[in-house]
Amino acid sequence: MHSFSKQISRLLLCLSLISICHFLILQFQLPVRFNLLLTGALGIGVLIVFLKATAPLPVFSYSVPWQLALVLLFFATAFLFRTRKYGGWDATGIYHLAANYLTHPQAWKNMWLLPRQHGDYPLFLGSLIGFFRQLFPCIPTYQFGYCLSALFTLAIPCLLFVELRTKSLFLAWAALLAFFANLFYLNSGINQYADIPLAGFTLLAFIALQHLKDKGNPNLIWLCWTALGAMIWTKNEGIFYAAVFILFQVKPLFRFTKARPVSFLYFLLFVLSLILLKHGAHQNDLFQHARSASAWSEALRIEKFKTILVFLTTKFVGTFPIVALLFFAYLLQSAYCKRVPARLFWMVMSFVIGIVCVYMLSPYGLRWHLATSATRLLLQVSIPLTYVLAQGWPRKNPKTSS
Amino acid sequence: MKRNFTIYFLSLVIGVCVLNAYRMARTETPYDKVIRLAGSYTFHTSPIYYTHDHANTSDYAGVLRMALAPTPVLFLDEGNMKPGDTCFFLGSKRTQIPSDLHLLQGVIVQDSIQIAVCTVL
Repeated sequence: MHSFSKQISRLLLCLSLISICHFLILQFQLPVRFNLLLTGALGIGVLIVFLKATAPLPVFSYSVPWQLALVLLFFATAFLFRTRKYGGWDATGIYHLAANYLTHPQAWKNMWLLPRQHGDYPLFLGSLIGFFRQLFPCIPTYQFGYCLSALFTLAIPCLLFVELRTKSLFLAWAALLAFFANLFYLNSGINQYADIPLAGFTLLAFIALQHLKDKGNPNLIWLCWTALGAMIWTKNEGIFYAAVFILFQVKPLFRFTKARPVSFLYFLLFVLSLILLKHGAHQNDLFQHARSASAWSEALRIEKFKTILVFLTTKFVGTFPIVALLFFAYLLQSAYCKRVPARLFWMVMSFVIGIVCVYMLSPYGLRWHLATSATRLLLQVSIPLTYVLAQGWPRKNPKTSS
Repeated sequence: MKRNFTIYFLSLVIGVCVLNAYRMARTETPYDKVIRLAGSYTFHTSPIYYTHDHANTSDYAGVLRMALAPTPVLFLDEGNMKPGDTCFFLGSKRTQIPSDLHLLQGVIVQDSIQIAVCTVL
């Protein structure tokens, strides 16, 4: 695994663990000083991240890092000058709101008194921002949201680049520009939508899995499972993605005897989160609607299916043209070589099938539901899809790789 | 650069965040006006009323809720309003202030959004 991927993935997963710990500290009414201990642990954790992963970057055949650095600088500037102070509605109305409650150990439970709660967001961002606000109360909530958003938005294309450059430099640049040069991607970051962190964690799970398969290093198992946990903690869609991931990858996840207890522990935690979901499912509009008999008769209408499929395809091609191009090229290549697409590819396709099913069962007006959420769901899927499509490419000449 | 790209990356992210904080501290948005208006009232016992009929209105409501948390603010439906409750009214031009709401404070007008503080008579 590339040292940049190693350091950034540890940093992002460290953030998700802090978020969970902060929530548990509040839930079990532990003293506030536990948060200080948590901060100390964070500092030590970050230090370990950098001390352990100080391997130099591999030497490239030409100065790719400078080009990457320049592209990154350009898009970081674009990100800075397109800022929205409070982010989009999801940020202000959902998790910045939750963060303001989760800043106060005495009053955080008032959060449950809100009559209009949004069931789509578990508390990754809310709890994490709440934790940082407790440490720095003078800094407004939206600043932390912005910092986290900037970190994830800028890190994802760079992660794709460094991971894919050994496969093909062309693909690495295509993946980088597919998102950095994408207005929808940048706007999602500027609006501080949680879709970006979710896509980031999904990508980390895929990267860890690929390295686990390639190198057979059992130490990567914890990385993979933690990324899956972070997906669940970030957004409800993450629960579905994680379930599909585990279903498709049972063998590599449980293959190593040494790491098997860790895998079983994580799996138990996953089952526990599913039970909790079922417990709270009565509040979920989709689950409520799915219980009614009319929902299923309406869901199985072929016109509805067609509308969803046409909408998703149009949006995918229109919003993510580079990813769509890679997608069709991958399918053509598979057909030409008479090769069945890889298991990872089918896994991402299962994500899409899940999305289609959600729209089929949606209790809302289909047009409205598609218009408000389909592109963002496609964004969540496009990032791991780009990685998977690139993995299916023939490896470049080893002389030019590191 | 070749030795540690992560340091460059994180420095850039931190730089972007610091510059953004500097810029935003000097930028007052319509949301800030709403928060300032909200801040001049005590909400510990007072419910807040808002309408949800306009996309932008819900944006303001979101920001307002964020600014007031963790105060246990209730966002009441019209039917739950009681005489004497202090409330915020957020509505678009299309929405009329209900006749049983007495306007207390001047209205902020931003594009099509009006926000007024009022009580139920």
